[in-house]
Amino acid sequence: MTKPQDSDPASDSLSAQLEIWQAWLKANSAAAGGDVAMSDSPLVRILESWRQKTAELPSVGSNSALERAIQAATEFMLMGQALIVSRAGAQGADGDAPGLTERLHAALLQSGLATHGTRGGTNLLSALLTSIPGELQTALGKVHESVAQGMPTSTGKTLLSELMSALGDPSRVAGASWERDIRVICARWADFQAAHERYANLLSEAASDATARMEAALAEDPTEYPPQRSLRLMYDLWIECNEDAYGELLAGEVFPEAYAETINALARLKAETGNLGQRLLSWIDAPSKEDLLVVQKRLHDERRRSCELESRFRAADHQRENLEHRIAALESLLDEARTLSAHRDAGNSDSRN
Amino acid sequence: MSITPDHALEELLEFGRRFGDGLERLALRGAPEVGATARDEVYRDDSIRLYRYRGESSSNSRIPILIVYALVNRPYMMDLEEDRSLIRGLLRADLDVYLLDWGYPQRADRFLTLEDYLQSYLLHCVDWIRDAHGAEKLNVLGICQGGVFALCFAAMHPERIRNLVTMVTPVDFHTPDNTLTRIARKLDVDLLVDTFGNVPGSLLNATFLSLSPFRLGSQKYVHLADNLQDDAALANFLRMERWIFDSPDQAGEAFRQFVKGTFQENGLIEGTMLIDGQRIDLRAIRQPVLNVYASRDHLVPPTASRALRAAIGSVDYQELEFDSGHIGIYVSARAQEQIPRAIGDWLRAR
Repeated sequence: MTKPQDSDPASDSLSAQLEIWQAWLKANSAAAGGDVAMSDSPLVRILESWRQKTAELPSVGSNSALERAIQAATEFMLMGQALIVSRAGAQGADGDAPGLTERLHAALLQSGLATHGTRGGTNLLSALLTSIPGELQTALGKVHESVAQGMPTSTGKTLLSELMSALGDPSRVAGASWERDIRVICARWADFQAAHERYANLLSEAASDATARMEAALAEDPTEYPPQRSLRLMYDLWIECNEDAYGELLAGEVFPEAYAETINALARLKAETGNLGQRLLSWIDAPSKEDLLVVQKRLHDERRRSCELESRFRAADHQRENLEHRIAALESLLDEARTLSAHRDAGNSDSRN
Repeated sequence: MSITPDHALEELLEFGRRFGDGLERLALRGAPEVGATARDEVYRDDSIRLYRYRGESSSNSRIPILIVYALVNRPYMMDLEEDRSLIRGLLRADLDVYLLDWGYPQRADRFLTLEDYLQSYLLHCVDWIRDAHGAEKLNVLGICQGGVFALCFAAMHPERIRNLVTMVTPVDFHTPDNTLTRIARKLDVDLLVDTFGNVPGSLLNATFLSLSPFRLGSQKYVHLADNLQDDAALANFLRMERWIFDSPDQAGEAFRQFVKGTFQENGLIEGTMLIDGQRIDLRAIRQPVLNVYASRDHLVPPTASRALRAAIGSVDYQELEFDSGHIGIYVSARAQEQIPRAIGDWLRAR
């Protein structure tokens, strides 16, 4: 058997790659129970070559479109591989290999596409963390990690040691009681986890629904979906199945509520971490959030007052202009009247003469 | 199923090769320029800017129109590139185009309210244009959330508005097909604003994308592999990407007012929306209204837009349905051809 490691899948000719892949497929189809070790596949090396290629480029760090594209292409490649493996196993047999759609779905789940909810949660967490400054963020990150690993008793110690080093004044922090703060943060974290789990469970239900739709399509039911002749069409079909299943979930009441509650739970968690941050800041005599809000509010109100004054000034200016126009018009009328009067006086004088 | 392992393998490897070859181009491309039409900044106030676009003709007979865009995305979508520019189309229709750019709210802007946006920023821009043209009244084109602002403004200052065009604008937020509302109604908006101050644009963007996560989060990038060698197509794609992910944070107090007043309380329909202590009564809008909406809009369902007909006091109300989604109505080739011309013709007839 040709070992995948002997060659570079990214640069080899198509036929050479085919050989590598077919050898791998052959080895795997002989494996007990037909289970395939995806991690050994040549695909992994292709993906790695993408990563290496992009890591060497200077602008990658700021190109998030690239990251999203690589993630999606990886999902597509995984789906393709799962399909190939299943079809190879079915060669010579009638119909599809048993469990084809389950394998496809497992591959896609592994790729992260069906775990869209986790991505959403990650985005929210990023937003939470980026809104907390500097060293405190590092400390809280460790607390999150600690709680996530199910070690609530160690959370307090982690928090204390991190915060003490962050603030650089252990004597002031060490004397304080942290118990309540830590208990509340842990409770909020647990609430967020529960909300997120509910949300993720609903997504899993939709994923199962999508699998059922995919099975119907693969059964070549012409009333549901057209027959699939390429990986790309298969992938597009999979996307459609998921959008349909997800769309139904979205149209109900339960999922939007779970989605909103995940955001609410995260906001509560951030509020608590914010409160903790405030307590810390108060010990180093830094201005509190409330102080800053008062200043911001005052700035806003002053700005608004200034706008109102400007507006009144403009209106007064406008009135002044109008009055000037009217005065000018009156003066013009007066001039006209004077001229007429002069003419009349001149006429009278002529007639008298 | 008609796929054989050999064919599938070939297809997969070919995809991998094409994508791998194009990665460098995608990586090095960087953020593309946006904005195709020359313009001048004519007024500014805090973060907001008022732009006037330079048309090919300098005729004084051009009809002035002010575009009021949403707060949640950037308005360069209206002038993304040469052949995808609603603004160019409006200029070609012999309109004198102004655009209000709300800018990016800073942390200190968290107390900005809808009163500030409408009674200060928008009002000053409208008055600036009226003064500049010596006109009593102005035409306004409100887009999406900007359409809601335009409606509120027209109801509060009918004496300043000649004609009103709304585009993909939600009016009835409680139609059964409004997915965003189902999420927004359950949000604890007080908690969000009190906690975050300004609401991060990334949170809103994640929610918008979550309405169609598989198409928007995966499929379009897989299809990109077909265009990685095509410079123009790649640039188009990246411009759209830039726009989609360029989501300004939302000034906290204005966000609180807007979400409560529209998504949660459906204030435009119920007549409960208050701005500057004034109840927004859409029946005060008696000007001619053109309502443009997209038939396949997943963000603003047509039913949400079409509710405008019954809500306003105008007898001169016209609808224009366009067969597209929420974004296609700005950037599709057909939209470039049809929408600006329809707006120009409609305005000229009034």
